Amino acid sequence: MDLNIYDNDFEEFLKQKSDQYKMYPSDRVWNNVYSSLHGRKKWWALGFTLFLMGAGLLVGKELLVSNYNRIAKDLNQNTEPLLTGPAPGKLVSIETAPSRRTNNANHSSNTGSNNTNTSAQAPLGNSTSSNTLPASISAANADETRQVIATAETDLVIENDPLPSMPAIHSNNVAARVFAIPQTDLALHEKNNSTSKSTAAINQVENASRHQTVQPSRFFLQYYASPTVSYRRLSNVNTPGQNNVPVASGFADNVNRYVNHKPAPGFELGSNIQYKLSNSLTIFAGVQLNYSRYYIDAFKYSKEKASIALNTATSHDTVSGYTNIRNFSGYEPEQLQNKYLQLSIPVGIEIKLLGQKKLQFSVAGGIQPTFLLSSTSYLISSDYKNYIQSPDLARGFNVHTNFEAFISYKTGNVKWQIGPQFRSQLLSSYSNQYRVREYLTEYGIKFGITKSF
Amino acid sequence: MTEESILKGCLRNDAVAQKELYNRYSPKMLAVCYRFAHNREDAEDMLQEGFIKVFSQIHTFRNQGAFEGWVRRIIVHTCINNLKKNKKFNESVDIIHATAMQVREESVPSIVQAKQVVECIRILPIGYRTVLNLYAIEGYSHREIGNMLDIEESTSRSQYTRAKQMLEDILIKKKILQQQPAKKMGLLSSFGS
Repeated sequence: MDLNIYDNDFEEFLKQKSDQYKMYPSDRVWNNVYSSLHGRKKWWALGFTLFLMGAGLLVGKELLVSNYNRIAKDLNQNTEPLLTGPAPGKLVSIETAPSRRTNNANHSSNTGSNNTNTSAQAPLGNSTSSNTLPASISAANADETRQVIATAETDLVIENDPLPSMPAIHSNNVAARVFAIPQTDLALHEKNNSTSKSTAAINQVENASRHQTVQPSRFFLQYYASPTVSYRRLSNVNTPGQNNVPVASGFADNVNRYVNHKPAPGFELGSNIQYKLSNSLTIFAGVQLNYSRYYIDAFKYSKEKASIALNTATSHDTVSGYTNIRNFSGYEPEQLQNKYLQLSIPVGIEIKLLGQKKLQFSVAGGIQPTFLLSSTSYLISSDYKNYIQSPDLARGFNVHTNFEAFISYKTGNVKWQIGPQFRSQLLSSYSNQYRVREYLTEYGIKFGITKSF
Repeated sequence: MTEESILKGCLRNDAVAQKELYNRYSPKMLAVCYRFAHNREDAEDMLQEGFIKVFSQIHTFRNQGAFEGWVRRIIVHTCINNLKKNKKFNESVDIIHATAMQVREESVPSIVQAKQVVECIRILPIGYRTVLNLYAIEGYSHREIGNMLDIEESTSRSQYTRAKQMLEDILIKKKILQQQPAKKMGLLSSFGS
């Protein structure tokens, strides 16, 4: 820019008068500037957090489904061979074939839908038992007979032991006879078999029953929601040399006496993964979203300058701003609202105090590192006369503790719970530079659903 | 907070320092924007855009000259860019507007003169007003004004002359300036400078 010398009184007059004139912008201007410089990061954080929660829920759901499928598959594989075949008491077929009288006669059976080739010494196969079709019995040589009895439950080969109830079959022209053999007879007959055949069957049954027993999962997934009400408690911090600060408070220490604030409703949403250490002790960790707010009663007034004294490491500073909100009196009442949107990572334990399987009474508590996603906050000036909107002094990281007691009821695989909860903030809502400390507390009724993996 | 600590804080993207800088300069800068804008809302929009640029480009400030002057230049350029988006500086349109303008004669108390002078400036047609603001108040040369507004240097001079004459008439009618024949000759003697 070229240097411009004013040799004209008129221009000098214009410049002088223009420079004297000042205008005070509305709050929206700074809010938009601040959001442009800082706001996007928080929306990124919120978006990323929601993405994590969604991914966690999806993974949890997939784990649940895959576990269920694995258990169902195991059950099917281990019980199928033992459960097929005709019901006890059904007809069985008896077949004789030409054979020599030997101790180890070969046997082949043709039992309808199944072909089972067994020898006397061969272990029982996996064949299913026969159908109820009577089989024709023909024997070229009736000296030796073999009887094959297919039962409803197992296939057994009985060597050369005709059933007492069966007539002897002699020589040629053996007529086929079909007998319905009661289960009780079969049971008696089973005892007389060689142990090798029954041992194999018993082993198979034991393996199957081992697969059938499913170990209960120790992992649970919980979703919860809670309408809450937020309160705040203020306190002063007196620092050495406070009297040297340009803006001095003329009031007594307890700032709570000079402000009017009322609780306002908010909410809490979250999800936990729980691990059951024992029957009565469970630990959990998860993510949680909290929306907290409260009202401040103030008054509108014409725009004026207000200051907040700050504590810095080496000196005292002030932050000044223009505001049209007064604390004690003004043209008309004005209700302000301080709002906080927070993301927490709750970690804690749950203890079952009373109850059995279905109905239980438990308590839980934990600690919650908390990140501030966004806030709207009006701060009281150092002389308590004005409120200035200043999101810059809000603390980005905080720590909360929570305590809850609840009654739960279990239906199937799902546990429903309801009960009161209390959440308290450990660090001030604002930076330590601000001399007024604010601590939020929230009360609510928590509703939760817990499901095992 | 000293200006040095504010600058250091703003370089660190410290929100407290940024707010302090904004509080210090926004009243004056909004008045600058108000002289260029159609209304207060437009002026606030210009101010918002200007301060975002200030914070984004603060690392380019080289301590050569006053910081306020540097901020002011950014704000003025933001106002001009905003006007160029919405309005072409057409000399003929300004003339038509000027001839149709009527200003009421009234007496203005001296304590509100600053505001009234600004309001009188805002009465001028947009082209006249912009050139007058840039030359008489912000101190740009006609050559620089021509480059900023994409007009000829001669156009800038002629627009300024007409703007000054018109503003004087308005101020006299509102009795902010006293009409004196000798002084009027003095004012006219700077015609075309």
